[in-house]
Amino acid sequence: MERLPAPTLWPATVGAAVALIAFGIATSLALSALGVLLLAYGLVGWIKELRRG
Amino acid sequence: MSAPEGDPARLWRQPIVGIAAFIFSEVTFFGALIVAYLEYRTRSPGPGPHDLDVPRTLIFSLFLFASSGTVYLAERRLARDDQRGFLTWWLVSIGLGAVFLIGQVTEYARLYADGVTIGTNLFTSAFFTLTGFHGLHVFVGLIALSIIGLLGRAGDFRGGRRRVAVDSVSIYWHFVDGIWVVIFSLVYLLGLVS
Repeated sequence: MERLPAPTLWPATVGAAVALIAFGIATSLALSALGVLLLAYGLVGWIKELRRG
Repeated sequence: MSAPEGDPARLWRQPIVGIAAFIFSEVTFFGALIVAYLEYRTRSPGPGPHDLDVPRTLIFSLFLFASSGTVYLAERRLARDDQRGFLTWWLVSIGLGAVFLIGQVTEYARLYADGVTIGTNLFTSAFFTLTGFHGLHVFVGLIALSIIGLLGRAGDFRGGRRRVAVDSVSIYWHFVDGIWVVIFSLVYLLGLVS
């Protein structure tokens, strides 16, 4: 039986960050900058979790 | 439910299925952009394919194509558990990809300096959208390659561990390279003959 990954919020965090970056391009680059920070945070958290698993 | 013995599906690891599904969706996406470009490339007066610097873009494209080769060389080193060789070729791949991206950015800068912008006419809208999205995929790919490089440096791939992560990113990078073969042919080379 394939082992399913545990529930995690990191993929949603990365997705939200990408959405924020895109939204900021159309509205305010400050939002995009915020999205970049959130993306970095999400990627680090997600990869850390994968390495622990 | 796991596949029974002898079933080829057993060879398809979950991440590989995931990256394959993602690439299929991206092929559809680029397909739509390519169709739009082919439709609009000669529809309006003003800037057109003849304004593109084909020799210059060819040189930068060779860097991108070479990076696929060096990724392959890196994977072969990893298969022999040669971490130093893997990281060396992997770093070269990142460098080659970065050179391509710099070439694209400088091409955009040159076009904009000449007054050729995304809103100039139908050709420029389609051109900048198609090549711009490809450039974005290259940029994301460089980030993924860099992450794999950092994890490799931390020893995450010793002894064949987590190899599927390297395979997934490699497949994505080869896709980015392959789609550029199509885009370069249709945007730049087709502009020379038609």
